[in-house]
Amino acid sequence: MSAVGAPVGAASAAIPPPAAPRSLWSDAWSTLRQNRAAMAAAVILGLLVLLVVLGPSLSAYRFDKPNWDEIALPPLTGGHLFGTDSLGRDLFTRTLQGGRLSLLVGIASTLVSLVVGIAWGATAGFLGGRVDRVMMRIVDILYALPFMFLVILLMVLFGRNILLIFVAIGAINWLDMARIVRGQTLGLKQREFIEAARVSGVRTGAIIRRHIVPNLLGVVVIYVTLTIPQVILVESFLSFLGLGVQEPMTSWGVMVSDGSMEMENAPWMLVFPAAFLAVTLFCFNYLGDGLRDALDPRDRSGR
Amino acid sequence: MSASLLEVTDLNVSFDTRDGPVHAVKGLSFRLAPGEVLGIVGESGSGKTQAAMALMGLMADNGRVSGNIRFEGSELVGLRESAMSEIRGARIAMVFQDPMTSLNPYLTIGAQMGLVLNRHRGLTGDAARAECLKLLDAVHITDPESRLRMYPHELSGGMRQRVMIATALLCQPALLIADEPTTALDVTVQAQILAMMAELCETFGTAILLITHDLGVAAGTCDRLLVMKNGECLEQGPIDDCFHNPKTAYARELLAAVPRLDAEPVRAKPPTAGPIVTIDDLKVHYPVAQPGLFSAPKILRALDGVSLDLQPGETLGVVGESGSGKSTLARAVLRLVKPTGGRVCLLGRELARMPEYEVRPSRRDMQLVFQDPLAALDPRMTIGEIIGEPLEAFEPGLTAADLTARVSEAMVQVGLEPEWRNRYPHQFSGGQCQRVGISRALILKPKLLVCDEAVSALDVTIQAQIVSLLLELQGRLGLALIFISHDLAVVRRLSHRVLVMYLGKVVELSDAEELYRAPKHPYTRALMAAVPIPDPRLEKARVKALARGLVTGEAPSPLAAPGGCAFRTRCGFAVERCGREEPPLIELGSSRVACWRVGEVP
Repeated sequence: MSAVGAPVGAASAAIPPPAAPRSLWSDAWSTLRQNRAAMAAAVILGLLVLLVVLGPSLSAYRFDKPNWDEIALPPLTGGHLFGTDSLGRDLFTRTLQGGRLSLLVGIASTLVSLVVGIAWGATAGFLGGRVDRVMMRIVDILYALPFMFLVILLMVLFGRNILLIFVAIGAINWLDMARIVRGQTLGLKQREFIEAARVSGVRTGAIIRRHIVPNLLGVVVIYVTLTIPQVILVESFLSFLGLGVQEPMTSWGVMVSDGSMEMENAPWMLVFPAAFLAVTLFCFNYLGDGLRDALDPRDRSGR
Repeated sequence: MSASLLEVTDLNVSFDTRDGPVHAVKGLSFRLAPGEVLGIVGESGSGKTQAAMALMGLMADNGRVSGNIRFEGSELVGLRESAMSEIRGARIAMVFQDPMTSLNPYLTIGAQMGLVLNRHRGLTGDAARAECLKLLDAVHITDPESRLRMYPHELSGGMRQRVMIATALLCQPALLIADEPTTALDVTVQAQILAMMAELCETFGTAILLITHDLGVAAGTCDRLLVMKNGECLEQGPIDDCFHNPKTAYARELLAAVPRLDAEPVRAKPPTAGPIVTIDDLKVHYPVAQPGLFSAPKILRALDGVSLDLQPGETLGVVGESGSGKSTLARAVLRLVKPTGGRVCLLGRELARMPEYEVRPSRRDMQLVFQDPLAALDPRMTIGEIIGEPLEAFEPGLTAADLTARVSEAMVQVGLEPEWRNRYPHQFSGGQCQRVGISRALILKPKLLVCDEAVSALDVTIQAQIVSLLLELQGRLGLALIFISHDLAVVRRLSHRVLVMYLGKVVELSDAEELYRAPKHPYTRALMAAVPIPDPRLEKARVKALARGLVTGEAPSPLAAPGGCAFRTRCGFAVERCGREEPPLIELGSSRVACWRVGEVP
């Protein structure tokens, strides 16, 4: 381990200038950067995000404007890169527009479930006893509510709104996360280094933040890489039932389900959105794998 | 020497890893005659277990074995798995360190033993049962009939190890490989198991390959000894030669590091300066739920009325078998558990009844060092962060530079290089991890340091280094130490006074000098008698004496502690009064002893 060399303020003269202190996070970052697969995935994801954010406004076509003269054009004809759909709308613009929504749903809902789930589960697991029982019974009760019923209820109460989809999906997903995190926390709590932190006078909040949560990350990252695709698919399912996004707005899920109807006549309507969806999920998986390895110091040898 | 049972020549074991091959065993050669006991000693990582695994044909997927292993005239290296499994269990049997993980928790003892008999001898039903009973009897298990119907968790650690040995001997193997068979057991139980193994070896004529890190254990049981280091055999020969006339410097070093009950003088008491800690009638009771809807919970008296005080610069050794309440005492003093009754007074603050937030300021003054050095360090923090954590907790205003400087200082103090601050715990050896643990405990400059089995998991040479470090730090910082161990020999070098505990109670509290010279309580004597002596002649005589029964059995569960004197069920001197009345702690010179017969017993 080479000394990076750091300014030393009040260090006494007897002690040689120490290497700059590093933490799990900076080490994880440098490990991640050495992981080519994960970095490639991150770059592709970054490009995708850039594309879906800027693409629709730069495109010569509007995603919601039908053109009855150009129905179901194959790719690279009539100035349409990906061709057009069954209403003559530019498929490239629509794919990017759909990506906006799918990525937004995937990331936002997962973030909600991540933050709420970890906080809830780690607190319940670590405090234990009555607090744990009350908190987990709340989770059980929410679990018992049928998902579709919840979504319909929200739609009826607040009207149709994309934001509600985020809320509904997030509200369901954090329950799983909380249960997984609580189970892991119960195991972690027994470990000696937690007791060591207590003896050292570290407060409960700090123990959860500094010891419990970082040690949960391996499991959490795996779960997140499973959640993002699941959320994107749930959104398309809701849309299919008419509870999610509505025409002319679209998402990858919607486009895939529409495209599958035209698969025999116009395969491109399925292939392009499906390819974007697949590449995105693939990248999330690789990035997740890389993150998990990077966050586990024991895994760093030999790389 | 012509009739060797086992002949190993130039055995090499290596593992393919991403960083290239790792050589675990390099050119090991030895012979074993029928009925002979060969001890393989060495520190962790010396390759002794891998050598045994190679003999058994139990290699990890990336393991490679080369060389020759001739067993009963046939070559074992390169043998097909199907042929090997005929030999394994039938002709060569193995006993592992941890009897709990080697037994299937879902099968009864009888079923597990039956599996072996069925596989290798085709015995089932009553014939198998009779065979099992015979062997359980041979390993001195009381009431073998009912044990056969029990599950592993219903047996104590010592019983499980006996069952393992009985299972291993079911097919009357010619060779028994015992890998640290007594390391996980109490000294008293270890002594019984070793005596039993020696006896079995004679009855069945089984050759034993005993792998151990403990030279005392080897001294009492082995005929010949083989010393390994870094995968190589440093020396081998008859046991007397190895102990009294070691040829290599490493063997001498190893021998010198073994803590002995009969070695150097013990430490004299430091001057009295008013106690740092006063503990008065401390009790920790746990309610244990009983099966059944309306049955009242039983009370587990983990700690039952312990009183003592501690001076600055003084070390109190705390000794007892597992379940004696030593760790509970540590946790109650440090307020990691809330005592049920009694007082703990640290520097004038009465901690026992305080809520946690009021205890917190006192945590600066009292710290703990754990048994398992690696488990006590957060695997996701660098050791710099780990050592600095208590400082951050108590001095949140500290600048980053000051923190770094203080951490470096704390690291230097325990012999760690400050440049290692960015490494993670798994990159260090056990001894270094324990130094990290000590460094973290000392960074706040506490007045009281509790070491809970702090050296028990370490190799003897490392053990000696850590004990020296603690001695030095105590001299420099005037620390009061509570040093907990199950081993009286380990405690000896550090302690000024020694507290002996049995089932949550104090049975003897003496100055170290007095205790080691003339132990008073029968339990203290039993503990001392059970510590193996690293001297083959003395140790063999002692093992014979133990076989005649000095202390028998294991400590009963604290849930079912016998009334009166708790030790009477295992005590050779118990009289009727011991069952009737509980003996109080009686002052006897500088000692306090809880025994009715303390004056009368020779």
